[in-house]
Amino acid sequence: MKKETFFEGLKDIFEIDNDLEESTHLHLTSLSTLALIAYLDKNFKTRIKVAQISNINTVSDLMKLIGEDNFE
Amino acid sequence: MNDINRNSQFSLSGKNILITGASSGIGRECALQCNASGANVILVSRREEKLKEVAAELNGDKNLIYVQDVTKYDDLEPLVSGIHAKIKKIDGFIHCAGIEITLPVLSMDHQQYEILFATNVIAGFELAKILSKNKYRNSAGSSFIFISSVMSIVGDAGLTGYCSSKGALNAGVRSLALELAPKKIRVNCISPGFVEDTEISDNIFKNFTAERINSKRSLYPLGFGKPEEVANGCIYLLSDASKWITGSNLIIDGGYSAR
Repeated sequence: MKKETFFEGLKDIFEIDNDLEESTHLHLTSLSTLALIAYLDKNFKTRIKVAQISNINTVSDLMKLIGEDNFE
Repeated sequence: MNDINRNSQFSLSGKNILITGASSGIGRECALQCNASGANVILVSRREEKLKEVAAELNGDKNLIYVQDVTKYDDLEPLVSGIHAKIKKIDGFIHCAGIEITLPVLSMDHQQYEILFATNVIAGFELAKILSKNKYRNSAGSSFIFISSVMSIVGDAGLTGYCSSKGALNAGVRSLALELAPKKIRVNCISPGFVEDTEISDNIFKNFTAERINSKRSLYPLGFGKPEEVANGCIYLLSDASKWITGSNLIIDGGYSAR
């Protein structure tokens, strides 16, 4: 997936209006965590567990969790 | 046979009860408890292996299992026709088949709403329609139960689709009860609170932290429920003891909605 497309998806989930960067902090709530898990499942066919997501702070952390080779 | 006497008005002795979603959770428990109360049960689910496991726990030789996805609506009349040909009368129907999706509304898409309504609502009403046809209905009367949820009367973040599907059941049941009363068919909902030890609860807990589980549990004055609590309500609504009850919604929620 193109990074730009991924960033747009994250902006929708977290309702971020500003441009997103890899250093952007993601403020996870219980619901946004579920939304994120569903998004990753649908777009990357990967089942991420809540415990894994809870360690995520930034967009970069999330990309590492998904696997950076999944991004163009 | 459980403690309820066969001759009691609460007995299901000799009744034939059709149960969807019977392979697990509340549906499975309804199958076991109705059977323990004297009923022959006809179990419907997509999952053959799980159905066989439930069937192995039943008493008697008049129970039946059918592997069927209830959202394949065109298959439902042949299903009922086949069941009716074998057992001649259907005294009760419990629509337990159901799915739950927890997502913020921004992440829901139309397909997820459609999936929720297909299983939770439309499949049940389609079966009720078929079972109420003169050629299948029991002229002595029958009882239909739809497993709704306490979430049909209260809300919670992330449950717009699920809550609306269960609310649709409550609303539909009132009309259905009025429409089918002349055919001696009673129609009711049961709205359980959070029931643990089911696949749905296990899936929900997978996405919950321990803190969130405890927070949720604290909202239940009597704690989380067990499937048998709901099954007991079904036995009552299927039995002759509830013969004057139709169009109602029996809330079994450990006090969750009392606040």
